[in-house]
Amino acid sequence: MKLNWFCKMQRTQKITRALASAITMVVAAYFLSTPSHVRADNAPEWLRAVSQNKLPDYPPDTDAVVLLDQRETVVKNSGDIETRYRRAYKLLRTEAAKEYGGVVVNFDQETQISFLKAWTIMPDGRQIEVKEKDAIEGTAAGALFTDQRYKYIKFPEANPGSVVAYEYVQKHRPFVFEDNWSFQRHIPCQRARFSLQIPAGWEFTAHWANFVEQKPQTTADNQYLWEVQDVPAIDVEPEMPALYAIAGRMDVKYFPRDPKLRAKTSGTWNDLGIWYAGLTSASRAPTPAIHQKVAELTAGLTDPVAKMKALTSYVQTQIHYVAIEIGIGGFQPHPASEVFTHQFGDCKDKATLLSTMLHEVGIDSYYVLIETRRGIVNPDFPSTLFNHVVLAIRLPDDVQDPSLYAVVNHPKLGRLLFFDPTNAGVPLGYLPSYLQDNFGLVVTSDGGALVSLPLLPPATNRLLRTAKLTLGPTGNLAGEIQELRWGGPAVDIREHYLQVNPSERQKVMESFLGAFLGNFTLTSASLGNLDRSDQTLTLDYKFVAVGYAKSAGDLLIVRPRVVGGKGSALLAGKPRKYPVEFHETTRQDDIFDIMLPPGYVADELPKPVHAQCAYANYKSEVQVADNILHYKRSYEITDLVVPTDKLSEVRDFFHQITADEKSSAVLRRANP
Amino acid sequence: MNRTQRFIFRATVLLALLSLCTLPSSHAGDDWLPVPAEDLALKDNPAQPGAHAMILYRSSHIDARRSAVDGDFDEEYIRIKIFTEEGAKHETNVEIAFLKQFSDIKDIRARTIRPDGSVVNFDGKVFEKTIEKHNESKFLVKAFTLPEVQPGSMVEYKYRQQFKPGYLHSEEWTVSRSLFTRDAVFSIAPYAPRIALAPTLVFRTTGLPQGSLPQRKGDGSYWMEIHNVPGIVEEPLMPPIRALDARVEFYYRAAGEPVGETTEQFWNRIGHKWSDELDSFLNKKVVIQGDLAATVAPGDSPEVKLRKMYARVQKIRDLSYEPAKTATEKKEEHIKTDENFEDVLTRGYASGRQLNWFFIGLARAAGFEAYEVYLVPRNRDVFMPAGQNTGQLTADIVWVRANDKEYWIDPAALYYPFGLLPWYETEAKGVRVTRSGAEFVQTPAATSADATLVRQAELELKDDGSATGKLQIDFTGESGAMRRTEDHREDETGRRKSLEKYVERWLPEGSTFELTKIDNWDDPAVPLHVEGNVTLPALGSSVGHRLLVPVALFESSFRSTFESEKRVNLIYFQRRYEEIDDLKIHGPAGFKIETIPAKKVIDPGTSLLYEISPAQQGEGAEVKRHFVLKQIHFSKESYPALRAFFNTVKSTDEAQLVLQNAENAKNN
Repeated sequence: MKLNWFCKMQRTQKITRALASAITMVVAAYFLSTPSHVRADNAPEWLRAVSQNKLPDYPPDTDAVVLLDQRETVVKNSGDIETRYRRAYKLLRTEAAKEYGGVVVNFDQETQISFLKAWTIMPDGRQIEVKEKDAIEGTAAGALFTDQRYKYIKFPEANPGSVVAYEYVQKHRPFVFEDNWSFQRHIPCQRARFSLQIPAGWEFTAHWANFVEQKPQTTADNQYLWEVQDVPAIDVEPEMPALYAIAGRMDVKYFPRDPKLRAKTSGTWNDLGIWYAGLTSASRAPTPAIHQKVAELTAGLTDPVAKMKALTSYVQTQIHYVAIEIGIGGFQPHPASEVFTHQFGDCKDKATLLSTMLHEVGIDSYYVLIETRRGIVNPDFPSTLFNHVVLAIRLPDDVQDPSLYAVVNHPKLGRLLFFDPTNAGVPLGYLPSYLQDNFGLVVTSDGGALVSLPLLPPATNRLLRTAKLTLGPTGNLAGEIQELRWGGPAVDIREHYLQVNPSERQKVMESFLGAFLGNFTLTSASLGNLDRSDQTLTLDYKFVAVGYAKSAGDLLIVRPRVVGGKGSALLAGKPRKYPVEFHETTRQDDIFDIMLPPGYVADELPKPVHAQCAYANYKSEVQVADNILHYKRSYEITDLVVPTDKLSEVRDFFHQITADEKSSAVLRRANP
Repeated sequence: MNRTQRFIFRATVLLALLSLCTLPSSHAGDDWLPVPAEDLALKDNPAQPGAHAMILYRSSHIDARRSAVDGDFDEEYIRIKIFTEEGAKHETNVEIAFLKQFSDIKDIRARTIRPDGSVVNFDGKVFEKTIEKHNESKFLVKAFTLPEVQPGSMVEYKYRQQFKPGYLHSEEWTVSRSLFTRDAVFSIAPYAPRIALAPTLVFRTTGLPQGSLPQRKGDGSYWMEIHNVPGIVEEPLMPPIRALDARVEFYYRAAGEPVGETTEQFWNRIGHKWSDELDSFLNKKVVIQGDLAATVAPGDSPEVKLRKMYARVQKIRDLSYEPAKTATEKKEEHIKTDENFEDVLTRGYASGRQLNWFFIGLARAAGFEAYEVYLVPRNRDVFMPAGQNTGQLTADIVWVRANDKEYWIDPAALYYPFGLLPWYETEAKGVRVTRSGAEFVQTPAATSADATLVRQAELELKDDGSATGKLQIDFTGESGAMRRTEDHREDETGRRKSLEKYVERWLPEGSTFELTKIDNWDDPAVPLHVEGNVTLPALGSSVGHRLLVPVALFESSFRSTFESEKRVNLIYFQRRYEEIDDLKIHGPAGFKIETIPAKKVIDPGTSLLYEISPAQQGEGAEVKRHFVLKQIHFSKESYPALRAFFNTVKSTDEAQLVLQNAENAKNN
């Protein structure tokens, strides 16, 4: 089911002790109450039938299997759409109860549930029915207030061998004439069916993703049925793309006969743009207060980029992320005046206020609807499958600032600078990694266009680590390391340091060092530009590591790669089925100088390494000159998604790095 | 065994005869405290620097005087100083939780004081959000967002939690918060009955600073002022949070319950009551004797008898190890509450506590002195008898005396062999319940030998530094019991996966462990034995004609626990234990040992021991390693020494064996 557009930057619900105990009480009440579960042989016929299914041999770690996943959607002439959902699982392992031991149905005021029941058929044939009134009802987390609710029913006796099932009927959101039938999950599915009944004169289009297209059977006038069988499970693999981006699904859209009903949510990207432009037409009206604030923030600034930076920084940092979403509010932003007055809002609210403020200084901008999980939006099948809103800022012609990387030259709209006002860690000019190499719908006043957002080059996501260290004859290593971070490598670590109490920041650094050093003491540490996301983040730290180099007779064994890890066990173990998705492109360099103890010379040094694949490069080199061991290496990720047929070269690439990172130089005492 | 089997809403005591009370009600006022200039200027908390925010002031005033007619109410007021952006983010949104069937949140007022002292009143909407509901149980929050919160500003809000009339509520002053509290004032005006048989308000305290105690005033109310309460800092190996909390718990003694009992009197009374419950459970002597006869032989020694009884009880289905069941599931499975020994016998299931009672029945029938011991498990809290809080005692075991030997056992601890208590029940305090009352006891400590991990690996090293080989592990005593308990709900496949992942966490990154054998899963009396094949793609590294291999295969215990130089809390290990490792490494063809690290022993005294002995074995090497944790509680002052010990162990484990290509060596 489609959810509203929440932002990636949602906050989780704070669970205080009072909250926790209250939740405990509700759950306890659930267990203590005498529910109206009915023990009777009244499981519906469809369930009885599928519960008799013979199962093929599945791998022993298969938790459960979907026996039937069925949707029956009826579109009425009025435009009302209703779907009956039926799903039955056979539980194969005790583990299954964790994921498949209950059903959660999301709903809100517009997508009410009119029927909900669940059943269990135990291995000995006994049947238990659970009614809707026995469900726990709750509110979706993430927003300060939302009418997004859920109902949860726990299947009784959800044990291996049991068949558990549910059925519910739910209205569709009235202004959205599309649906997404996703039939592939982390467990196998024996049979999935989607039936569609549309009124005479209505039309539909369907699009299949990640699965061989199936043609519908026409079961009656204007009634269509799609069916798939024996759909394999999708195994969980680290760094795989989002499930929805690789799972088999069919997207379908409905087109009413009456042109007046032809919703703008159907049809082309332009239609969608028109729909959203209509929804937001009154949102960006400026007020005197906004005008005054803009004047205050841009006072004395003449450079358009400086003005943009002042305004974007204000909205990112001073407007707190708070979501209040009721009904259409999942899609429609609050007016800029409200956002400014309250000084808070969600992603679309922040985009609205920023757009309004930019307009005050003569800069146009457009809403951009985007799905933060890369690979889900299909350019060939326009849809409302978005979960986030950002802005495309139309750059004035005279702005030629090379630090603005996230620019796309659009044939009609000109140079568009994409910007996420919700993510306070990513300054103007950069794009958060989840927006890069992704599609966004740019909404203009008269339509919309799907635009491919840029993949920023490795040089925009940099880490440069330099070290000046001294090795003692007993193996103690002391010295100083400096890190310069910008782009992606700055974003995550900056967020981490900002989240912990200032008094705890030393622990974060100690934890980093502890991953590479045995017996060490951090003697000083400082962070520069921590709260200035538009500046290079600097980390300077000094330490002493006792016994870092290991003595072995008259040898001293020292690992030149003192700190920092690029190696990965990502591709170790059994072969993968799905692509790897890197977080971002990046260029990272280490340049370490280690002064050797007097009287020691290099006996053997690690060989230079140059690993390369189509997606990444790695070079490392160790040399000794003037009694200083010079270690330098560079690591570069140049593309994000590695298809499965290229995984073996990436595996080799990381294997070489891992081996190189473990390598040591052997020093010998010259005159023992 | 540790259980929280009872859901008790201790907080409510229904008042049936309270219609005579006519005391006037009071409501939250609008007055805010003055804003001192020095608070506006605060940049950090001088008493606990480096926090995102601090509580400058909070007050809690509970008024139960009109419980019968208007209901209790609790007026809360809090003022927070914000120091950082993160603090601003955290304190902007306020959510106040309540259960709709018992109370409501009213009169919310809030404001932000800007760094310059100007004030922005909250005039936005307060949302009422249903977090969860089921039938009549409705858990809600009142949520609102404070305006213009930024570093340097202060936020403050107040509200009244109004309870429904006709009930009295237990109350808790939670003094410790995650934020430092500079000043706090608490008060409670108890229900003022006009009749003699009404409940009486009493309190117990935990962790309050020296000199702080609720003061009783002339009108019967209590009042407490407290200052400079540090925020709780979470650290690894810290005592349970509940043991660090400062709090005052108020509760009503029901009419008829004695008031003013000494600690001893209280626990003796409780002991009598619990002893009677146990006697009632064991009232079918003939049935017990019959089961005893089928369990032990008359000629068995006392300990053999006890062991047989223990094994007998452990075979009974223990419902405490199964997922909580709904009423329907209980009905479907015909599960009823066991009232006595005979019920357990005929139905074949029981709760953990009932299984211990079952054991006591058999032991007593065999002529042994046997009692139930109720404990505060070490992983939850610290027992404070003076608090007279039976709710603390959430675990129970059995004490038996046979032939003048004392046994502390927990037959309901599935997977624990006879005589071995789960770690959280060792050195735990509680009461032993006898027919004459209750005695305060502390359970014996376990030794490190009660929890050992014996690992043997034999590896074939390749010249690129990779290795493959066999690994055998024996999880003994507590170590085996913990593994078995952890995976007890898993099937065979799940158990294998879980063990493989568990072992892989000890190995260098990217290594795999493929399990080939699990022995003794169902026999807790013997070690859990696991075997498998390991693949280590990067165990060692080659440089020139040498191959370098770390002497320790397995990651050091507590490798990342002692990285920080600072420590706030005392150090609280769960259990004593030992690691005994034997690693045999065969070098690749053509390689021989060049140098081998010297044996090293770190023995800082009675608390810890580490020993590693690498030795050449033919062309390869054998490394024996022994780690013992002999003490579990350490003061904060001993942290530097502990840190030095563990960091030295970590560094010593990284020492390298140097293998040399023999051909090349010949030329040297």
